[in-house]
Amino acid sequence: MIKLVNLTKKYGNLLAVNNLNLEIKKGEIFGFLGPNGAGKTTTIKMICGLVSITKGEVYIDGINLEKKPIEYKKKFAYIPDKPFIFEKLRGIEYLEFIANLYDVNKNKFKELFDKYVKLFEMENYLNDFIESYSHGMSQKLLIIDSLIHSPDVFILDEPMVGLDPRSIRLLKEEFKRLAENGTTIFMSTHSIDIAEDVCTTVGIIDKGQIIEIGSLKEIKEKNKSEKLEEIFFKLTEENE
Amino acid sequence: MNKLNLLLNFYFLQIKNNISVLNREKIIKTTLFLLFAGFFFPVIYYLFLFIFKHFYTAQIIGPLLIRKLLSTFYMTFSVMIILSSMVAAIPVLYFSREMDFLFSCPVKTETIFIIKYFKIIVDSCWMILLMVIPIFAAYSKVLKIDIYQYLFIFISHIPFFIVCVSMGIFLILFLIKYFPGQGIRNFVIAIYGFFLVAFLIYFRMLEPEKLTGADFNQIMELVRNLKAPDNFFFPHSHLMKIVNNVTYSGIFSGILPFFIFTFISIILFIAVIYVAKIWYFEGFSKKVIFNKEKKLKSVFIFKKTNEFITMLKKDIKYLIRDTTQWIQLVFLFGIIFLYLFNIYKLPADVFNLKEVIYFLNIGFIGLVLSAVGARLILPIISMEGRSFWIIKTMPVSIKKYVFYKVIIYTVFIIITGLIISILSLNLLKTHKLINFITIFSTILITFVVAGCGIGLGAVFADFKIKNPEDLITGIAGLFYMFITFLFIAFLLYLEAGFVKDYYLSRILKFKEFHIEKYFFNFIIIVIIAFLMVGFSVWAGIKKLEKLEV
Repeated sequence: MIKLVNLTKKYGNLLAVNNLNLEIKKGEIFGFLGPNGAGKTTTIKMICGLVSITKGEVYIDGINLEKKPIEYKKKFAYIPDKPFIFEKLRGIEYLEFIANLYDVNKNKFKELFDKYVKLFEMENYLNDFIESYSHGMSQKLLIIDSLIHSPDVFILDEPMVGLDPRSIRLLKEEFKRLAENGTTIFMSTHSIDIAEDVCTTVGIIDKGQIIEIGSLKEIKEKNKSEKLEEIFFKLTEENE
Repeated sequence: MNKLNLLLNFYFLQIKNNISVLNREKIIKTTLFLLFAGFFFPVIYYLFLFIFKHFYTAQIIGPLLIRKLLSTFYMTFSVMIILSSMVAAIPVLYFSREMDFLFSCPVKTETIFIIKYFKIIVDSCWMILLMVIPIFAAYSKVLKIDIYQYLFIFISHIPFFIVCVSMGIFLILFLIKYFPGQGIRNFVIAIYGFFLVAFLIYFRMLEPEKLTGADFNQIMELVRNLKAPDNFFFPHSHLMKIVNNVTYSGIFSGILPFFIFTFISIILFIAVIYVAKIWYFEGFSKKVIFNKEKKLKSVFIFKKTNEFITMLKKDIKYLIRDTTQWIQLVFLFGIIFLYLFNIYKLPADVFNLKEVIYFLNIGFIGLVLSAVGARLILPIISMEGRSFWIIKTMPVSIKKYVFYKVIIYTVFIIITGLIISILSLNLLKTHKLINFITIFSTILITFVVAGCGIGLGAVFADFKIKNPEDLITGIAGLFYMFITFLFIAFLLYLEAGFVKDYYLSRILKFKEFHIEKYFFNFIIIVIIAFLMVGFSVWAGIKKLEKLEV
């Protein structure tokens, strides 16, 4: 569903992402782990078209970002680590704005809106201006908007940061349910617990290169350890 | 006191680091600022020299007129400083990033407040302080006061600033105690804008040009209209007392009022520190107030709209809710009003040359629209701010996004332009053909103003800037003004022959007039307009497509 071919990003002399090759299948929940400055956010931003690609190609559902950008963008929803949203809009107006841009039909909007607004307990805040929202509330609004336009792929950069424990649990359950129904999820996280709990596949990136990839079971067997945390430290320290 | 020094050093270090790290952008900005200042000082000086001389020549009451005029100005300045210190105080006292850090440090509230007070006084008074230099230089020349008197008057502004800023901060400390900070700031900004425009209109409507050759009654009417209340409780009254005493009786007679005023300013400074000790932290701790929970209507009705209407709705909501945009609109109406008033007040004998005046009118309308475009349209793209990632990831191409903006703002500014030209046309009562040319020119100018505004706004887009309106004072504003002025100059040049021949044939009956002769010129103007807009928009699209968020 997501395919990265020789993906490379250079900032002057700094090689932020180095020849990354990756393929994530439909219905997978892919956890992208790595220390600070490893290239996680740059990779995600390249996939979303927010940062130019120095070399290589990105595909979602076989559609190339550079060749068919609009069709490509219809396929995914992105939730950034810092949820900057048009702050002079009310929450409800933002949801309507996004639903119209993604051409969501009225019935589907109503069904998903009722479901997710209640689930994330946002019904009492949607009439407020976004500028009054806390980090967690903005994050929830972005999650609701991406769930409403129900894309094939979710691309998430640290999606749990700022969320309360209840919302984290709800989101994890929702991701598992969506993945069972064929939605693909690409998620960067610093939390190894979340990766172990939710992800079906994990990739560890360091210094712009994938140093380990596979299902949790495969990675644990290969590195002869039961703890993903231990494996993470061992691999990233070896790469020093 | 040690903590105060420590914090002051902390801020000076930041300023020093900021200055020492020079990049191309900073060098350009500083150069432009210095150029602007180099232009600004002589302009203000000669403007006030002209005004003071003009007033001084009025028989018998010349000095009284100047006193009244200065009093009116200083009353305005005092209101401006109070309002701008209120606008500056909210972010500085409550929303600065370092506030959490400062309040978590083992430092007294009043120490933090004093540091912030210095910043507010600099932020809200520096511009007026700079204006005072040329204004009083002109005053010295006309009223013939020496350098010591000038310096004494200049120093007397310090208690004036302290009193005004203390009053503004006191009001903010009080208001934030009861109301949410952002709402208060928006309200004060709106009041500030209305006040400035109202003052400009008031001053223009006094019709100071009537002084030329005016009789005693006309002068007395102007004096009566220059109303500035004189009272112990108004800061400008104290300053004016010092200025008048120093001007007419020498420095020594200004010393006592200066000490009284300084004493008042110190008392107010101490009082506001005392009030801050009680109210500041309380206000800070409740600065982020969530709006009262407003439950959604039982059934929310989703309105399905197409991309264009969706974007339009968002832009209109932003325009209505963003007070900085209100101010642009207030300024816009102020400029239009003053322009039309000037046309209305044109002396009757000039109307013999109304075709020529009307031809120049096209250029003036263009300049007004260009100023409006710089304030209102140029910052539009940057106003998306850090939310621009939404635009980049949504399934609408950047090309469409920019085109939508061009359409929305072209329509808006064409309507504005047509209102100005039709109203001024009615006042000048010109021939139909000239009217048609003016409307044609206005539409083209507005198209260039809006198209280049959006295009260059995209080329120079800055999504991290705090106030997108600041683009006007940078290289973007300069380039935009240059481009639009260039187009207006082209347009006037290519239409000049048409208007001249029309004037000679219809008014002076010197020669035959054939409109077909000028078709080529009009086609060239249209082509230039499309090329300028096309190139700006193309460059803007390319820049946004490549932009990394």
